[in-house]
Amino acid sequence: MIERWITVTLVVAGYLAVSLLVGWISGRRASDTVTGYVAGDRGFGLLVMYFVMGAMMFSAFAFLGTPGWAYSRGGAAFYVLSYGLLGFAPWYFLGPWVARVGRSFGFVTQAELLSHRFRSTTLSVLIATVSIIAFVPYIALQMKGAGIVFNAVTDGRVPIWAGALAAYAVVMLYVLKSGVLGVGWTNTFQGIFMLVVAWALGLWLPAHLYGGVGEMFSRIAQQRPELLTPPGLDATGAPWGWGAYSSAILVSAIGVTMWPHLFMKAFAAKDDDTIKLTMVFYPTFMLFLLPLFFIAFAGVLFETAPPAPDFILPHMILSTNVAPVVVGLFCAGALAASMSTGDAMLHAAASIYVQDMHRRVFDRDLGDHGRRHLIRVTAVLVGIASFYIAVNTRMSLVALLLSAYGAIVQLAPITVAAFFWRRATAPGTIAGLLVGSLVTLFLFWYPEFRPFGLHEGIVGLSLNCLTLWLVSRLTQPLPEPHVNEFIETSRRSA
Amino acid sequence: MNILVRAAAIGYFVAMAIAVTYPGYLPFARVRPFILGLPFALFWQVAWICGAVIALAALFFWEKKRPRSSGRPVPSERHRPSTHDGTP
Repeated sequence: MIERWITVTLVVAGYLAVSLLVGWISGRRASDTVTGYVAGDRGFGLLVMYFVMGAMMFSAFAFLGTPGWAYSRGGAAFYVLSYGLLGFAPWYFLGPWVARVGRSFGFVTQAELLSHRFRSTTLSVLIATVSIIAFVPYIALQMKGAGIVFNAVTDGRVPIWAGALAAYAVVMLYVLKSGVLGVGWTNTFQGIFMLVVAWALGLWLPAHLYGGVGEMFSRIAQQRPELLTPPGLDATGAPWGWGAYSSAILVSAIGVTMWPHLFMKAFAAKDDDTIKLTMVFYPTFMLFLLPLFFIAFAGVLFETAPPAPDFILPHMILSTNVAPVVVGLFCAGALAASMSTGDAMLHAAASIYVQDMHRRVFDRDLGDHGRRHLIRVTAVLVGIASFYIAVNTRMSLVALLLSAYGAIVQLAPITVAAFFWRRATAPGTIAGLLVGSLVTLFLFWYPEFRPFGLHEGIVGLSLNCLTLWLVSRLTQPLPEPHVNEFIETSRRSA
Repeated sequence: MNILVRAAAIGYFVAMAIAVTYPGYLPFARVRPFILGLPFALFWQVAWICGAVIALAALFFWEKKRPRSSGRPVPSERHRPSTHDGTP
């Protein structure tokens, strides 16, 4: 009888090998240009778009954190189902506009689009800075998540740094070799993989322990009914407020819509129909959270408790005596969730730095070839920086991430103004972004100043809109032909 | 007509935003009745997600049948390209 951790390691190694193979081969079709490397020559079809969008949003946090919430805070976790969908739905309408403007003017990033619209290099640099500050801790969290799962299922034999290194060495190789095509096709493989693993375990575990999903929920309804309804409980176990629950949905939804790497994938789509159909099918990906909820709820009445709520998934898998191969598959599924988010972010962070910061400020004459090379170098540097942060976790990653995320949310009024409000000006958008971000940051660190206990992001957004409107009114409008050309391009059907 | 269909689809998501937050969620944030084995509050979420697929699919096929008008005037009807500005 081989020891369990050896089997687990072998299964995971097999999964990593397939990921690498898929990622390596897929890059052969890309042209050797920045558009090829960053936007896949704008040739992504429906299958790849669906999994890029879906798997990209399902991070290690979704795979471990959401079940952790369901386990410890009950109905509070339902908010993830709502905001994921509400955040993506606008892309059915917004996506084709973004893609048309991208095709016409040759954009591959969000900042390129917005800085062209408002004719401002400052805006470009500002957006790039905010994006990268948000990406690095996010990638670090993904790496740490991968390492932790590997560590848990091998009973501590594989240290966290080694697990993270193994997974992200593979990611680095296919991102460098194949660019966004590597990200796209591996996400497809990883997405299918984690869907299958999650549904299989999510249906099997409640059946094995309680005789079915319905029976499990009936028993929880008798013993812990407070866990089955929103707004659920807060982190201390006290009832959570409806205000906090609702505003969390609103702010998270706006934030999801504005993530720069999501924007970039709209540029990669083959045509308008591909984007629209991706959004038609996208909600089905949200249902992927259901089996994860089932596993988490199966832990509620289970005799032993995990060391921390976030460990509920590995804990349930390890304490129900499933075959070592299944443990390995589960571990690979968690790695897939982590890698399919981490690869897109790594690739996006490097592309954004080069396209929106480096060539705008440091080297205006950098050619296509030079930029492609620099994106690869930057990807390695971002990877190393994130790995360093992931392994030396004395800094509060979540706090850093939430702060930067607050700033990402503030891009929403600028994007809306870009497509709808001709009178908006560069000083207006910059002032709005700064005011919104700073107010959000301030209220995040000093919650006692929040008016009526509102979510800090909502307050920031309101002031952002107000500033954007006021400053735009007071400044010189952009030349009309320029604005008209942009807006008309976005509305023109392909 | 197209703009009405688009508005209806957007209306679905506005309705959803209300139905899954305060106060629209209040009457449905309950454990019973169980549907498909799920507590009602969870089933409520799943139902809105499935409805979203249907709403967006309906919109997609509607727009597919009527190309060229995306609910807004085509560019030539409203603003001429920049070169025409200022001159008759």
